[in-house]
This record gives sequence, C-alpha cells and structure tokens, in this order.
Amino acid sequence: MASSRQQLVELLQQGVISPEHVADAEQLANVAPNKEQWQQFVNTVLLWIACISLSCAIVFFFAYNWSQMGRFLKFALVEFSLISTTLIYLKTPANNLVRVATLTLSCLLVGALMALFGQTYQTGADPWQLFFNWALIITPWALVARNSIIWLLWFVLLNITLVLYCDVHRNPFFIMFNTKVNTLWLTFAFNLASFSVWQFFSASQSWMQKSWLMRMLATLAGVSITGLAIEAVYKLDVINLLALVLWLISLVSMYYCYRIKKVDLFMLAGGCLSIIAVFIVWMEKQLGSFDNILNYIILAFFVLGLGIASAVWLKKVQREIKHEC
Amino acid sequence: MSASHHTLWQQLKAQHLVQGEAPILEATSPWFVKSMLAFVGWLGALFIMLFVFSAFPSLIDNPKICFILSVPLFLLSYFILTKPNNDFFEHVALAISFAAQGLVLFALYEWLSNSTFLILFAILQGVLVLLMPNLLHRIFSTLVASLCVSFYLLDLGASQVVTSMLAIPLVWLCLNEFRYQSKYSLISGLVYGLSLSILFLQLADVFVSSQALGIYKDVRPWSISPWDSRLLYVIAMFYSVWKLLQVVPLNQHDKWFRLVFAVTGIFTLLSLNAQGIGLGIVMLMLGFARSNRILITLGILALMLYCSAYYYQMQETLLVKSAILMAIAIFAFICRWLLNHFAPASRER
Repeated sequence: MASSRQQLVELLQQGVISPEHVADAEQLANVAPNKEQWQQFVNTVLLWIACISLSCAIVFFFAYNWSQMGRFLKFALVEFSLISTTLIYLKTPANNLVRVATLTLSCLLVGALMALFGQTYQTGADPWQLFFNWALIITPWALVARNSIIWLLWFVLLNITLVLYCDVHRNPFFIMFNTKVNTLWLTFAFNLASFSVWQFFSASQSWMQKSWLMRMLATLAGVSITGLAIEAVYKLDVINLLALVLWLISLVSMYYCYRIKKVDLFMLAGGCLSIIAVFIVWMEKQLGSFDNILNYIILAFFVLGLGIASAVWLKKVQREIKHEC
Repeated sequence: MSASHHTLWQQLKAQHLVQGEAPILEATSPWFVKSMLAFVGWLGALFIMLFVFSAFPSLIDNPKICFILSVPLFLLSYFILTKPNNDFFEHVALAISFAAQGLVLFALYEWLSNSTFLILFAILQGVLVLLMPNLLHRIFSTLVASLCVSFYLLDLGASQVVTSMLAIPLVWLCLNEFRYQSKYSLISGLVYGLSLSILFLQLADVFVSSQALGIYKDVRPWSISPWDSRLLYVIAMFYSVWKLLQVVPLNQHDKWFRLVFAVTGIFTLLSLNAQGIGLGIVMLMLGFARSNRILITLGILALMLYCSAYYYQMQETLLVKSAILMAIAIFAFICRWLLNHFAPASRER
C-alpha cells in the first residue's frame, strides 16, 4: 500500500484542507502503516539489527585480539570470509539484493586481503599497485555480476590508481611531452573514455541504464577538465591552451547532447557550474590582488549575476520538460 | 501536476474533504540544481561578506559594533526569505544570516563567561527557529541550539543527557506534525533539526572530550552523574515506545502491547552503554510510522555511523563492547524468532 505523504504535505502547505479534515486526509493518503506492514517492518529491523550487531561484535572481538594473533590466523580469517561470501553469492538466487551485497563484500575483502599481504610481507610495492591489482582481480566479477555498484567500486579504484601513480611518476609520457603530465589529464581521459563507452553500451544493456553511475563518471570528467581550464587561466602555455580548447569543446558537446538531442538537467547544471567556476577565476586574475577591496564586490556581482542567469535558464528548461511530459 | 497528486486530490474530493479543482503547484528544482545554486549563492555571499569585513576591519574588532551590525543583516536575511520561492537567493539569505550569527557569537564570547554565552546563543537560535521562514535555516538553528546546550553540559561530564532529552520532543513533534497545519514548516524544521542533533551528538560523544575543546575559562562547581544520563535514556525509550504504540493499530489489552514494553525494557538495559543504537532505532520507527523516507534514512545513517564510531569509544574495552553487541544480536534474533513463531504473517515484499 503506497503512501502519498509528499502529495498530502504539499496540499497541507497550500492550506486547501481544513483542519478538521486533516486526520481523514492522512488516512486516505496512507501515511500511517497498517498492522501487517508494522509486523513486516519490525521483522526486518530485528533481522538487520541482529546481523549488524553480530558482525560488529565479531569485528570488535578480533580487533581486541589482533596483536596476539599469528600471521597465518589473520590470513585465514580474511580468506575464510572471502570464500564464505563468494559461496553465499553462488548459492543465492539471481536478482536478489543479498547476492549483490555479498559480491560487493567479496570485492572489498579482496582489497583487505591484498592490504594484509602488503602489510605482513612489506613487499615495497607502490600504493598505486595495490589499487591497480585490486581492480584487475575484481574485473571478472564485475563483468559477470553486471551490477552498477561493483562497477562503481572498479571505477573508483582505477581513479585512485591514476592519482597515486602520478604521485610517484610525475612524467609518464616523457617521450612525447617535455612538461609534467598533470594528474587531471589522466583522470579526464580515463573518465571521459569510461563515460563514452558506458553510454554506448547502455543503449543495448538495460542494467547499464542507471543514470547515477553515468552522472558520476560525467562529474569526474567534468571536474578534471574544469580543473585543467582553471590551470590554463593561470598559466597559458601550449598544453594548457589545448586544455582550454577541450573544455570549450566539452561544453558545446554537452549542450548539443543534453539540451538539443535529449534534455538532462543534471548535465546542464554541471556545465553551468563549470562555466561559473572558470569565469570567476578568470575575473579574479584580471582584477589582480585583493588589496583593492572593491574587487570583492565586483566578483560578488558577477557570481550573483551568473547564478541568477543559471537559475532562470535551468528553470525554463525544467518547465519545457514538464510541458512535454 | 503529477499523476499521484491528481489521484490523491480525486480521493479527497470523493470523500468531500476538499472542493473544486486541484491547486496548481510550482515544480520544485531537483536536488542537483538546488546544490549548484546553493554553492553559487554561498560563493556570492562570501565575497559580499569579505567586502564588508575588509572595508571596516577596526569595527569588527569591537564586540558592540559586531552586535549592532548583525541586526540589519538579520533583517535583510528575513526580508529575502519572505519573498517567493527562489532557490538561488535562499542561499544568499542563509549565508547573510550565518554571517550575522557569527558576529553575535563573537560579541557574546568577548562579553560573557563561557556558560552564559552558550546559553544566550542557544536562545538566539531558538528565536531564529521561530522567526526565519525557511526550512534549512530552522534545521540549522535547531542543530546549533542543541550543540550549544550540549557543549554547556559537556564539561559537566554528561552530554549524553542532551541526546536523550532531544528524543522526547522529537517523538511528540513527529507524531503530531499535521496537527498544527499552519505550523508544518516550523515543525518539520524542528523534527529534522532534532534528528540531526541526535546523530551529531552521539558521534561527538564518542570523539570529543572537554579538554579537546579548550573553550572553557571557568571550572564547573558541580557535575552530572553518568547514571542521570542513563535514567533519562530509559525514560526517553519508554516514552518513545508508548507514543508509537498509540499510532500502531494494536489493542491496549492485547498481549503484544505488554510484551512490547517488556522487550523495550530488556533492550534498553542491554543498550545502556550504547545509547546511539536505541536512539537510532527510535528515529527509524518514527520515520516508518509517518512514511517519512528522510527520517528513515536519518535513522539508518545514525545507526551505521554510531556502530562505526562505537569502535573508538574509550569508556570500555573492545572485548566489553563486543559482548554488549553480541547480547543485543542474540536478543534481536530471539525476538524475531518469537514474533515469527507466535504471529506468523504473510511475507510480502
């Protein structure tokens, strides 16, 4: 029995329901659950409280005794947990939330096992190698599971790999470029490629059509290219000029794909924010230092102006979507 | 107007609870648009504040001037917030109000001893909750007021008193949210503010000590015993269950009615040293009772964060904490088995 709570709240705030009818309206909107729903809810809550308390109790117990435990017992614990979760995944029927949860837990336990290995044997490997190998090992599971949450973990691991890699190797493309390769270039290239591939395959695969993952990839690529454009504002050399051009191309592409071809408010809002960020940084550079306090009010004027313009435009686009619906 | 909105209107009309055509509602912006406008609004307000404080640096050092300067800022914020719905200017107004609060906080801190300035600031927040016509502002002011009262009691060694104290008005307000229709915005601000306060204070209780805060100038002559906070927790839990049972479709003479109180008593005893678990469950139950997804989410978040933070609590060893959690787990499993055994229900997803 679905609840219409939000709709009831909107009507109450409009003042169209008289006070003596509020209780009846609440009943019609199914705000209060019935006896069966309460029983099912209490059943579920008790199960989750029991499972979480039990898991935490076990973790706390092992944490208390961790320093006294030998290395083989530590490995055995993690490996046993990994095998158990994998077996639960194999035994659970398809399209079940428990199945997804256990496989996600298995993927996390792979990382825990690798970290334990690195900590125990002090192999001297760079941190980026841990994350890269972790992503590599869970790739077959991600392909088989066809689940967005596990792919999210995979993308996050590779983004962390790129950032940590650039920490150690400042100029991985020294053959092609004389200058230092910026971390943002790598994350922009990787996330843009991931977004494009995901967008392509999502046309034929229903499980890939969850918008939140595509938006996350778009956000990561957008943040990277915006960062590169801001760097170009401060120092305009050949590489940074290329970044600026790519930023403009990204904005134009985004407008074409998400305003003309189909409408996606999230992408448009992200584009607006990117423009505001780069423009304000550019204005700040033109104005010079903040010894002249009037610079603050000029910047405030531009920020407020751009903000109002964005709000009006996005509202207009939203009304158009509503009319089409 | 959405289809579900139209359906509800038709149902209300059929029961003669409303008349005429359904009101046309302005579509609210999605969360990411609001977030983007909030960021830009705050950035703009920040530059305005930097201009004001850079233009009059010597005035800002004077507490009296700070206090006087805060009044027009509060009025400006109030004026903007009373205007029709505008996501962008809403956040500009919030930033201006927060700047004004910062000035008042500075002025009070310079003038008064620690205990009085916290209580006075909490009173100011209470006034702002009543006057400022904005949900976000009310939530923030409720949260800050709770934190101020908690910081005041923290040095007395019993900040957990505040979280249990907050649960009582939270339960009453949540279960009576539609009773005062014209005050719904105020009540919902208080409900979410109190929920967030409980969440933050439970976490702060684990990590923050009075020495770490370092804001106190004077020594407290008296203190609150930990058993006072535990007693308040017991009262809060039984009050919450009693009020929830009034909205659950269960007969008072039903055996389950008495059983629920017995289970509450045992669970409360088990969780006396892990009060975040009990209070998180209360928030979860309240959210379910009112079909309020935000409150359900806050309840789940409170439970997850508290379980993580409980690891770092220094009052007991990990072994004792493990035993407490194991006892709670076993008790929950037993309760669930009893529920399924004596009252099997249809298992619909």
